[in-house]
Amino acid sequence: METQRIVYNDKVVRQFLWASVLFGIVGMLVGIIVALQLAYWPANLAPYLSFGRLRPLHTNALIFAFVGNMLFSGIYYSTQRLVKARLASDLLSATHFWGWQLIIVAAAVTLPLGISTAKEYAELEWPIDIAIAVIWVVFAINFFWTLGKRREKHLYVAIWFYIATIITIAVLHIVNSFELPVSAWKSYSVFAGVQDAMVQWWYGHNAVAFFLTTPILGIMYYFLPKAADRPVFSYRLSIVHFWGLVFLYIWAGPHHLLYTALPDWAQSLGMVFSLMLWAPSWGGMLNGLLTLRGAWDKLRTDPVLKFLAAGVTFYGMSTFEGPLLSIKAVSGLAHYTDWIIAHVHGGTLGWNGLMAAGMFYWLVPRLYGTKLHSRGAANFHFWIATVGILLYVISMWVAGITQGLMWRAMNETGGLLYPNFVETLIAIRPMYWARLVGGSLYFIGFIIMTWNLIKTAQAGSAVDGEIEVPVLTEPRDKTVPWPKLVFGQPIMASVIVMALLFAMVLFDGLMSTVLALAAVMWIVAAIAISIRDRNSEKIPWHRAIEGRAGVFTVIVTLAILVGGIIEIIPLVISVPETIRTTKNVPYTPLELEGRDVYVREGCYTCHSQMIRPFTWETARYGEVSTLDDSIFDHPFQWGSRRIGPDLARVGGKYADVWHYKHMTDPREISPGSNMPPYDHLSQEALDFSKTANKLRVMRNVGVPYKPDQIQTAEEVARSNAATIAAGLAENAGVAICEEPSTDCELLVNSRMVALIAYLQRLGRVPADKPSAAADTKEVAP
Amino acid sequence: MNEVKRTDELQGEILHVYDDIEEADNNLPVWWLLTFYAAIAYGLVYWFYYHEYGIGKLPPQIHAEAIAAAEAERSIVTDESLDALALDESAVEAGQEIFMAQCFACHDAQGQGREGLGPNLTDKYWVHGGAPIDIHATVTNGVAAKGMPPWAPILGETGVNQVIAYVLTIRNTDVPGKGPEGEIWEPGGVVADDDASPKDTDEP
Repeated sequence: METQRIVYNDKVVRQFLWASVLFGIVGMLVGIIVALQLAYWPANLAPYLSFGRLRPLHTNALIFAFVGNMLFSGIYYSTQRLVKARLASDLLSATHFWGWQLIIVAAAVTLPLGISTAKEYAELEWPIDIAIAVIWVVFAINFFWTLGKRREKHLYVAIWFYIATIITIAVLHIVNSFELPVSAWKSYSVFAGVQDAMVQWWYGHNAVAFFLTTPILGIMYYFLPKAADRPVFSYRLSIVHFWGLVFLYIWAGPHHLLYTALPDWAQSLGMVFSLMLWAPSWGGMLNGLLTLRGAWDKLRTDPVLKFLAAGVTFYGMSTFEGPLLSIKAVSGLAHYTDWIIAHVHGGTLGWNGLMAAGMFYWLVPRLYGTKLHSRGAANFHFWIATVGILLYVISMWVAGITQGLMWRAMNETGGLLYPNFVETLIAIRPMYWARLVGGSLYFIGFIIMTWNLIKTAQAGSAVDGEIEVPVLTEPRDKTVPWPKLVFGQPIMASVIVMALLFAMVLFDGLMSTVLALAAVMWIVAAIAISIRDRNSEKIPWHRAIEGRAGVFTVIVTLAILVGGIIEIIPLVISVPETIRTTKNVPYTPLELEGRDVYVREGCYTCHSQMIRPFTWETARYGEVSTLDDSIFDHPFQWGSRRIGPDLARVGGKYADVWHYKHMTDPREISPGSNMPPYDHLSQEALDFSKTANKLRVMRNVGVPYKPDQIQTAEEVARSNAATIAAGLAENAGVAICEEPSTDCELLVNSRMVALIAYLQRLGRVPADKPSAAADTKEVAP
Repeated sequence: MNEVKRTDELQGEILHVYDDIEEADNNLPVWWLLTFYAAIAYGLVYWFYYHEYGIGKLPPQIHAEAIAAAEAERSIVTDESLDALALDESAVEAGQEIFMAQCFACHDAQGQGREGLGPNLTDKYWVHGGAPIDIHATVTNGVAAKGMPPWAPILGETGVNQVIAYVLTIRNTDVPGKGPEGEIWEPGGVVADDDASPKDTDEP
């Protein structure tokens, strides 16, 4: 048989690998800085290095730069070998690599400058969003083109996970980035309030699913059996847990929004689908760990296996904790606290970080044709990293549960036991130091790894993998026409179950019960039929689609679209009606400018704007938040973490002077606070001539501004700012001025004034503002 | 793909081989499969319990009932009951503790007030009425226009009463601080600023 030689493109694998190591160091270093800032506020050295600006940099760097580069490296290495084909295009590979690094650099520059959309893990502004979409498409073309040139007919499970990753991330990123530009570096989300919250957490949750989980599972399925030199435990487990994950994950987004103003039906869907996700997630862990059967002894000596096995175990821990946290009652305690921080770091440090290290230790010696420089150093890295993770996670568990319990603690007569928010922060400060130590240990391990990898690479020289393959590739199996596969038995069975369940939701009472029972019986019958057919002679349906990359991709796409469509569309329909009936009114021009300052400074990284229906929460913050409160918010600012108190109804709670003094020196007003000082906002002038355009864009995304409001925006903003500044001058003797000067404490048209206007508006509509005379007459008894 | 089927002693028959990675085909662990089925069944039952038949109460309803129950339990407060509490040392002490934690920011450590923020509570002038019941109303409901938040939800009924007990002990101690604001109040009612003579009020 005539053969030919294929040389794999391992250059791009090496490039992504080193980029991952580099940005891992940068991202973790930023993580250490933000951890320090929470424990010790003076570490907020400059406005552009404050917590609110660096926290998005930390998350984006580690998700998209560290894990992103790592997964591109792993995907490109394993895919070429699993399909026996060189990457389709060197040009696309290089474009992918350099384009992605350019995006990372753009993120690292813009986020500290305060250029942010304030949507978590999607903070990058619209020009970068477009670049991400373009580079992602480059990646997709390169990948699918390679599949098209494959010499292996069937796709291995790792490739299924890569396909799901590419398709889903594209859908998530594009939809969540629907935004209208205001200027070159500023845009407003097209989604309003609750819509934006739903879309954002559909994205946010599934970025975790399809960026931090599915590609790494694919990588696990390649590198773990390779390193262990053992057969993968179960092909059928791969099938069940793959489709389980891909279909169910999408639905779980609303578990980030339990007890919020999101409609209850969506919250309940988020909760029950998260519980259903537990088993498919553990399916991945089991298939990984059971593959180690017969290789457990190697764990004692082989650092690669140590990292991979521990990584998979942390995956199991995180995917148990996730469903647990999605139970409404547990979320009530844990949401907005550091328990969530513990959870995500169990996943990122434990699963992503250890899997990355295991992969690097396995790959670098092979990519440079040599042996690992120091096994001892790698083992030391493993132990210091594990201890670091445990210290980090346990301290944040303690902090989260402590703070959650303190928030809800009530005294015997119904008052809050810890009415001052800052008490609950001071109580957990020791845990912030412990976390800093844990994170630093992990970072030290990572530095040791970097040194070890560099020494390894220096000892060898770059080699590209090669393989001898027959010239004649297997003829493509087109005997089964694609409609037979797309409309195959499993698909039709699933469609019928979904139709029955959907009808169940639409009907009430007895009819819904009948439909549910029919669905259950249908599922049982389908499983029975599949068991009966298992031993039949014909090629099983799943084996057939594994041979058809295009068909496989189409089915994955359909599976990931269902949940999102069902959860998002009802809100797209209902929100215009809410806008018609709401008593809320759009922000004044100055309040809108203040809101942009709030977004720019990343206030949402520490403050929520969502009061949940708990007595302890309404006692502390005021009435339960409603859909109307945030209906004109583009983007929504419900937040996900309370390092400071909720601000949903802070408007009118304190005087303007209070806010001015508090933002100038938080500790003068609130001793023990860890909020960074924002005194610089008093000196930063706003250009109100651009305000009208902001209102215009807001109107285009659906906020009912009237033409005359837009026309007079500049003038109204100026006069409102002048009123607030004059009040500060009169009541607190603040030296105000129109133009910057040496003895000026506060510019009239400054960001500070606009932010005060916004904060004073939160939670109340102008008509509700009580007159000064009215409120003392309401005597209680 | 390697067509020769091998059987591994632990993993069983090898079904497929990709890039030397062998793939076995063991049965799904039964306990794992049961947890999966149980979670799906739980999801259906949950949906029926809360959303189809409405047997379970959803969070907004639970909250509304809790608020209504608390409302029904409120007790009655009078000038006399507050004056009596001001003589109770433990209540005053507890009130002082609350004052230092909550009121300090605007009214300062001794209640002398801060420029631009809260008024002096140690003089005889009161902006929103100096009768104990007026102070109770001010603390309970706050004065939104002046930036004073409603304290009842935060301090609870007892807490509000305790902090008023403390405030009643520091009034007329004249700690130097923020200048006079509002009207003079003495037991019996508001008096005119200049001649200190009693004046009619509409207080309860």
